Amino acid sequence: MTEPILTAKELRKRYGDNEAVRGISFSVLRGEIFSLLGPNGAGKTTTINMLSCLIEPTSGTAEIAGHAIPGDTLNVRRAIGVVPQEIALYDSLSARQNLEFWGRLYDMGGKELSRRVDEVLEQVGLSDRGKDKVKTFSGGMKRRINIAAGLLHKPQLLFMDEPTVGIDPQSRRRILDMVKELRDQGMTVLYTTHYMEEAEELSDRVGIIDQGKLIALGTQDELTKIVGEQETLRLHLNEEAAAAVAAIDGGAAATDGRVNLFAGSAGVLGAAAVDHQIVVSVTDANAALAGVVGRANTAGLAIRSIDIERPNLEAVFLHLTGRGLRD
Amino acid sequence: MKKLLAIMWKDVNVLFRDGAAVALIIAGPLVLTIGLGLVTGSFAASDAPAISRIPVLIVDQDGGRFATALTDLLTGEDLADLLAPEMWNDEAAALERTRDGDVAATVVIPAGFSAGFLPDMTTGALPDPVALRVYGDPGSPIRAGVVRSIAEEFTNRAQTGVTTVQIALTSLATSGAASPAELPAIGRAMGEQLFSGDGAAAATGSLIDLRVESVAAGDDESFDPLAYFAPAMALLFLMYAVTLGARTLLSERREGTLARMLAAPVTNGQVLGGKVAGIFLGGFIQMAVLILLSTTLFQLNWGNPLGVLLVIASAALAATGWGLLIAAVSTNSGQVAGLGMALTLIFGILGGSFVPGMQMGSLLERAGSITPNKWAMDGFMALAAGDGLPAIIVPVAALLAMAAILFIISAALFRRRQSELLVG
Repeated sequence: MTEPILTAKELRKRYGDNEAVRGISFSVLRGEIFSLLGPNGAGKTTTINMLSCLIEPTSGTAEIAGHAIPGDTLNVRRAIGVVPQEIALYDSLSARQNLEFWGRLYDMGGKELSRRVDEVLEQVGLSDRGKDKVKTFSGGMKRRINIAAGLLHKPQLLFMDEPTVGIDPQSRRRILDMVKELRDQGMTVLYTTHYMEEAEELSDRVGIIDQGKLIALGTQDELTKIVGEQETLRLHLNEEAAAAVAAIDGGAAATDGRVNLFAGSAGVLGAAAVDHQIVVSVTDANAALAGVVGRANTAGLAIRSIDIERPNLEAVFLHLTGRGLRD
Repeated sequence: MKKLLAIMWKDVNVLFRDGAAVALIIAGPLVLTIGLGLVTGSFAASDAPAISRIPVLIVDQDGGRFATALTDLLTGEDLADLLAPEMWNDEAAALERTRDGDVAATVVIPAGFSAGFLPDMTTGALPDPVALRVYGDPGSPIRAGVVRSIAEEFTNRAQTGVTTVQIALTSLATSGAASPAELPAIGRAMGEQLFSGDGAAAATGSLIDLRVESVAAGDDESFDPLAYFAPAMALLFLMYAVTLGARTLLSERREGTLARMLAAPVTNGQVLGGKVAGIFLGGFIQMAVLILLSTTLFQLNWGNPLGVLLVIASAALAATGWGLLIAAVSTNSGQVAGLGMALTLIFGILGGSFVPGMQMGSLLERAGSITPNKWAMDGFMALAAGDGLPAIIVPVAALLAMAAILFIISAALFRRRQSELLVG
């Protein structure tokens, strides 16, 4: 697992005054799951689009399975499979008809295509629903067919762009298991997500991306070392954390997610509002707990529960950017 | 090519699996055809002012008794509200005016027309019938049909009367009730009585060959209002069908399927070519199905099958060109739908889909030339009137030229917006 199948060098993409990707360089090794972890708008999809030859980089190059970007577009596309963030299927066609259509675009046909359609339907657990129209499927089932379409031609490298967005926990579990099975079968996967848990569970290596830049890259152990022995206190609130904090914290949380409420409290390194949670980075959770809860109570925050977490990727992101992952 | 065809078939498959769309583009035209046919049929059978003072030219080359009777009928008081007749000497000039749409029809009474009703005095046999010719303006099929009906009614009465006299004289001669010398005088007297009365009698078959022809000439054919509205409504909804197809160019971008196609080893040209072919084929199938259904349901005769296919194909191409242009200037599928609907209605009006034979001003009439509806209707009406392939050369060429121009403009616009259209 040492040979890179993908190498990106200083990829940049500019739209007018906005630079969506700012000189990203990384490699994906054959047989690994490599995750690009970052909040929405960090540049993950733009990076995938450049590597899929859907958009041309403003500058920089890449090489996939020996084929150059820009330049060798069709061969790059033959080597990769793409599972887009959207459910890119035709609702009025059956699952099988959808898969047959996508297979034909990869030069497949006849019995070979029919056999592969059977195989991928089996792989995603929908063999008995092949003849049903996609519009009759649940969101999770559509996601699985969306993945199946990317697997038909047995790509050397599979791009999966946030494949679990908007689905129920059961379907998410199924998809995560499927991704691990693909890796076990020898497929290389480039996986983008803004869910820390998914990156932690799946990835051999992780690239953390924020505001168009790759700010950290390595195995999870390598990345968590960045924050040393930091721990995380996760305060679960009954309401949207950013709004709650904004009301008592001078509005700071409403703009960039940073929470100043705990500044100066013993052992607190930083805090950010994420959904219905406040993530507090501390040197020692047990020592800092009383001070953090005290300040929250004084400020009138209604804490529902508290988790104490060992160093993780979210703490890394918080440490590197001062913001939470789901800002 | 395989990938282009795969995209094309996928689009056609998707279009015809959309129940609402199929109901609209197939059932819609059929229902409207029936409705308009019924309404127009009522107009034709009544004294409704919508069809009145029909301009008609009469060219009398015969001058005989029957020709005069017909001329008197057409120019008489009884039909003064319905017809605006004008006597004309030059047949070629009259046909030219009909072809130009200045008049709805020209009735040509050829030399020998009257003599064709008179039996040989010695044998009693009738000479070969001489055809009464009614030339109709293809752009005014209903009004031309009215003139044809009047001429037909006259000839039917004439032939009935002649037959009645013939039978009576034969009976008188064989029974000895009248001598052979008296028979001509008796015959003349009976004829005058018959043609001065209402002449109602059972028809006994065609003694007079009545031909209704378009100005481009052709075979025998009669006009049915449904024969106008069936293609008119099909063409109206053809524009709508291609608009549905053109919408997918933008909706596929929104739904991510366009990007997914382009992430496969296909070229931009294959994707766009497949989409365009899909729009065209969708329109072609819609028209073909409507023509087959209307042939079955309304017993319509569309004319030369090859000509019909050529007109359908060229109309679908031209409509596809308009659909592409709409997509090329729109930023989202909603805009395509709005513009498409507007263009469908405007083209329907300018192209004569709603008001057949409407006397539009010359400016509006010229504006109709930018619509596929107008040219395709010209082609369909010529074929339905029995004309051969030469009659559709101009409409087909106009439709193909329209398609070529629109494709070129759309391609240029798409090229400018390529990256935006393909991946947003």
